[in-house]
Amino acid sequence: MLIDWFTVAAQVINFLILLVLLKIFLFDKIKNAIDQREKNIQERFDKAEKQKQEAEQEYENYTQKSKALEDKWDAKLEEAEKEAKDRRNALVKEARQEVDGLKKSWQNALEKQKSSFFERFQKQAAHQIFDTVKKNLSFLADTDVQDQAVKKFLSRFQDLDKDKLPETLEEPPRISTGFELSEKQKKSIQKTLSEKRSDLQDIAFDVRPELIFGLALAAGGKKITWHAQNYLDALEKELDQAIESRDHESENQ
Amino acid sequence: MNFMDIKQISPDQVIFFQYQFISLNLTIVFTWVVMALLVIGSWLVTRRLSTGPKISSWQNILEILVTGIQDQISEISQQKAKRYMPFIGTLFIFIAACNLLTVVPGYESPTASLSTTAALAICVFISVPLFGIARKGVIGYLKQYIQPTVFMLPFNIMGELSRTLALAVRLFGNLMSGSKIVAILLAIIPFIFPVVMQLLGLLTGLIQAYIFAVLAMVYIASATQVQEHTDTKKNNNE
Repeated sequence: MLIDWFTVAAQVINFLILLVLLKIFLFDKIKNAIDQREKNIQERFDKAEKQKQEAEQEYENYTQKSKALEDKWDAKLEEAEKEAKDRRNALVKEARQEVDGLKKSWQNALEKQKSSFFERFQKQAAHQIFDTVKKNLSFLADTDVQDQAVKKFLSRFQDLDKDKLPETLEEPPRISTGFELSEKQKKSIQKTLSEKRSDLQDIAFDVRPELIFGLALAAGGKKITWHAQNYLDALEKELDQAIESRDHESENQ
Repeated sequence: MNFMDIKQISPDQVIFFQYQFISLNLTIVFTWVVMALLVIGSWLVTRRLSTGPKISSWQNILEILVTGIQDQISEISQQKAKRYMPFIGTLFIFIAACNLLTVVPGYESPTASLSTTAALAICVFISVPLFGIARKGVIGYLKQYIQPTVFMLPFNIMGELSRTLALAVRLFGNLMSGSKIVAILLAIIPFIFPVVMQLLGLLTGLIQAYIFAVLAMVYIASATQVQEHTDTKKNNNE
């Protein structure tokens, strides 16, 4: 018979013994070793993961710090730029003010020079005109210019309304001329004035070179003039206007 | 040195010691030899196991073997392998060791004895209800014999017995015939061809060990999963 039942029983027992021995010496130990290794690996992974998270956290912190520094730097830079801009504006303003001041003082100086120039020019022109007119009148009419001036003045005075004359005279009337009057002219004046109004007597005469040519009557706080000064003032104004308009044109160009 | 005659089919027939029904035959002796090799080998390797990244080659081989068996069990049973690992693992390693050692001259595989294969088949036969009862309880396990109807009870019992018989005879037949064919071929063609047959025998032996272990696992898995399938069906019907 192929089956020996004693052998079968023995083999069953042998197999069970082998099962127990292999469980003790092989399966359990190997399984434990594998589990332990997996545990170790898992621990390493966990540790690595933890370290990674820490590193990421650190990275995040450094990134934030870096960003904060960058922001701070930007703010400082912006502040510095603003400060520099303000400073530049202040300097420009200061420079402009300085330039304006210089310009003003220059303009004042120029104005003064111009005034002084026109004053001199006025005088020179007046004298020149006076001389020319005097020469021409003398030449043309064969008469004295001063005489003509006196006549002209007296003619205007006679035409003057009495309302324009002062009501009362606290001081004696005064005739100012740019030249020395002759006795004849003085008498003629006195006569004409007293004919207009009886109280216009005892006239005081004086010479004021700035009048250049012509006469001025001062009586009771009122003045009646006819002299070259008026024409020269008008001439000065016209000259001023002409010069200013020429300056404006040159500036525009 | 040959213990067996060509006419002797089973190593049971080579008896060293006999006292009444107790006999010390070649099967038992070589079984002890294999057991000793396996246990001593395991002890030698596992006494200094490394849990670090560096491991010895032998430890590596054993780990591959154990995890391979574990994966196969998990795949077949769809359950945790820990419970079945010692039984199925021991079956596979013992049968494989018995079969692979046939390359050693003079060695006679214990699995070429019908007594050994019957003993292993009986172990499986007993272990199937034990695992089934442990997992599902006595009633839960016994219910599977009357599934799908009570009329299937005799067929289920016959199936249980016949598959145990098939398990025993398949392994015995393959191993015994393999060793016999080599012995016969040695007499006819003494050169080269028997070596080829020996190599083929090694492959066959390993495959038979795998088949035996896998079938044992399938039987156990069917015993432990029947109730689960029934429950699933019930749930699905509801």
